[in-house]
Amino acid sequence: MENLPKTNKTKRLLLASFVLPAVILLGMTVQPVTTLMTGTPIALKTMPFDPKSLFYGDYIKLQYEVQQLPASLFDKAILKKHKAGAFNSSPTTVYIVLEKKDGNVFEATKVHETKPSEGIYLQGTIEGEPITDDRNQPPYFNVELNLDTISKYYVEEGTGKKFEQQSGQGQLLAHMKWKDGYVILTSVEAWGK
Amino acid sequence: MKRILNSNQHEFLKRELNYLEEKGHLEPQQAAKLLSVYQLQTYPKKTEPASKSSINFVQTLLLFGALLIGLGILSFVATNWGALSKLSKFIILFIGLFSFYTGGWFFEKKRPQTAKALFYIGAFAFGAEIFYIGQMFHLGGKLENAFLAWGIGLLPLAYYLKDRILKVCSIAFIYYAIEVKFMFGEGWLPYVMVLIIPLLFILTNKLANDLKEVFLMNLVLMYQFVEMQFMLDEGWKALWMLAIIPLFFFIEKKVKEYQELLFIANLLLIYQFIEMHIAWKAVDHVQISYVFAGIVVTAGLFWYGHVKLQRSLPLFLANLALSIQWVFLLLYTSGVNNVSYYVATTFILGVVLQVLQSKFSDYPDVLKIIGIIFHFSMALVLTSPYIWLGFEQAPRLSGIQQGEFETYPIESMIPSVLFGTLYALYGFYLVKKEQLLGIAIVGVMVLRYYTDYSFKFLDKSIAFMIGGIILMALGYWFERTRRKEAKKNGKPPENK
Repeated sequence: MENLPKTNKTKRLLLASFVLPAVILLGMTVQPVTTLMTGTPIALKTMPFDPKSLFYGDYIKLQYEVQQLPASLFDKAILKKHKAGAFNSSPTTVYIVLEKKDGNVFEATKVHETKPSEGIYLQGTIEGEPITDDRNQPPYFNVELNLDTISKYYVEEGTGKKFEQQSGQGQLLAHMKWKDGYVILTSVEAWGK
Repeated sequence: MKRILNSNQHEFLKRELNYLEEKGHLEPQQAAKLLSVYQLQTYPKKTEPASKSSINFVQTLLLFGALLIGLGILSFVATNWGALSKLSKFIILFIGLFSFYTGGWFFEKKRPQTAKALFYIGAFAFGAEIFYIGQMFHLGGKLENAFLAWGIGLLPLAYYLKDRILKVCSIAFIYYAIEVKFMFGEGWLPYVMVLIIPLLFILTNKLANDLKEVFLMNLVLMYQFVEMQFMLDEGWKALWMLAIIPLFFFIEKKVKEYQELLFIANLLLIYQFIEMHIAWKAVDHVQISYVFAGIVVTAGLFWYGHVKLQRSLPLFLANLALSIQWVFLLLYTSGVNNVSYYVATTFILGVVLQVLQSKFSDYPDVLKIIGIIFHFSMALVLTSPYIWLGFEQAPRLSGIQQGEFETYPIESMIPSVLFGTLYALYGFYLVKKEQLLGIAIVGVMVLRYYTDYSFKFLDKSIAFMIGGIILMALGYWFERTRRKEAKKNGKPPENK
C-alpha cells in the first residue's frame, strides 16, 4: 500500500475497510460452523410453506410439531401461571426436552421452566391460556421457538414447490445439528407415513 | 478597464445599439464605438465544461455499471444455484469481494473513476456475502441483522473514500436495523428510542455534520416515533401531542436545515391531531362538545394563517375544509339523520361562501369557486322531488333507500319545481349580467328537465334530435356571451 502517500488516519481507515468486512463475514460463520462440526444430529417433524425473499431467495418456512404441545407435558409451575382464564398472562420462557424416538427423529417429552443441565432441548416462549379446539382433544400450547436458525430452509430458485408436493404425500423431516441450545439446519427431506 | 458583459447581455446591447443607429438616433459607426466600451466575458478554459461533462458521463456509466453488477451478485445469491457447492459459492463471493476492493485500491491514483466503481461492486459483494451466509446456514434471514452488518462493515470504506453515497447508504442500513429492532420492537423496546434519537442527533452533529441526508433520517425517526407512540394512540397518551407539537415548532425554529419541510410536517401534525382526536371522536361519541372544541381550534388556525403566515393560501384551504366539516358534524352530533337537511345545508353553505367572497379579497376566488361548486351541484339534487319528501319518508344517513315512487306526491313536486325555477331564474339574472356561470346554470337546468320529461312523451330519436339542437343553441349562446364578457373586460376574444 506504499504507492499512496497517506496519513496514518487514512491508512487505518483503509486497513479497516478490508479487515472489518472480513471479520464480520468470518465472525458470522463461527457459531454455525462449530455447531455443524461438533453438534449432535437431531431431526424434527415439520409442516412446510413456500415463500420468497428478495435478498435471500426462495425458502420453505418451517413449522415444527414440537411447537404445538399438549398441556400435560408442561411442568406444574408453568401450568399454574398459564391456567385457563389467564389469557393475558405475561410470556414465559420454556425449555422443551427432546428425546430420540425413531431413528434420528426427536420428540418432545417434557417442558420445563429452567434450562436442563443435560440432554437436548429447545428454548421457546408460551403466552396465555391453554388452547382447546376440540373437546375430545387435550388442551395444548402454541410454543414460539426462539430460534431463527431453524425457521426457514433456503432452497434453489424454483424448487420450493417440490417440497410442497412432497409434504402433501407425507411430512417433511428437518435434519439439524444441535450444540448447547443453538441449532443449525442441515437438510430437509420427505418421509413417508 | 472595459466593462464585462456575458454573451446574452452583449448580444442584447449590440442589437439595440444597431437598431438605434439604423433609426438615426446614433451617428454612423457610433454603435460599434459604444460597444467597444464593453467586453464579452471569456472563459479561460473553454474546454473545461466539455471535459467535465464527459467525466460526469463516464462517472454515471461506471456508477450504473457497478450498480448492475452489484445487483447481479445479489441475485446470484438469491437463486441459490445448486450446481456450485456451498463452500465454493462462499469462497467465490469472499475472494470476489476482496478482489474488487484490492482492484479499487490499485487503480485509486491512476483511474479514480474505475477505482470507485470497483469499490462499489465490492460493497455489493460484501452485502451479498452476508445474505449468502444467512442462506447457507439457514439462519432465518432477519433482514435488519444483515443490513446492520452490511452498514457497519461499509463504514470504514465510506470514510476512507470520503464517498457521500457510500456514507449515506451505510448509515441508512444501520438506521434501518435500529428502526426494526427498537421502533417496531415489542414491549418496552420502542421506548429505548427516547434515548436513541437524541443520541443519533448528537452523533450526526459530531461525526456526519456534512451529511444532510443523515440529519433528515434522524428527523424521520423522530416524527415516526411520535406518530407511533402518541398520535396513533387511542387513549390518553395522545394528549402528549399537545406538548409535543409546540416542542416541534420550537425545534423547527432552532434547526438550520429543512426548516420549511419541518414546518409543513408540524402543521400536518396539528391537522392530523384535530382530525383524529377531535373530529373522529365527535363522530364516535356523537358529542357536540368536540365540535365546539374543533371550531375554537379552527378559528385559532384561521388567525394564525392570516396574521402570522401572511395569508397562507394552503392553510386557508385546510381551515376552510375543517370549517365545512364542523358544520356537518354540528348537524350530525345534534342528531340530524335526514339527508335532505345535509343537501340543503351544503346548498346554503355554497351561497354563503360565494357571498362572502366579496368581503374577503385576501384569498382571491377561493370562496367563490368552492361556493359555486357547492350550490350548483346541490341545486341539481334539490330539483329532485325525492329530497323534498315529507320528514318521515326522506332518505336517511343510516341506509339510504330508493323510494318506490313512480310519481311523487304533489307536496314534494311543488317545492322541487319551484326551487328549480328559482335557481334557473338566478341563472337568467347572471346571464343578463353577462356572466358565464349563468349560461352554465340555465343550460344544465334545461338539460336536466329535458331528460326528465322527454322520454315520457317523445320517441327516442326525436328526443335526441331536440337535445342536440338545444345543446347547439346553448353552445352558440355560450360563445356569444363569452365574447361579450371578454369585450367588456377589455380582452380580445380568443378565436379557437
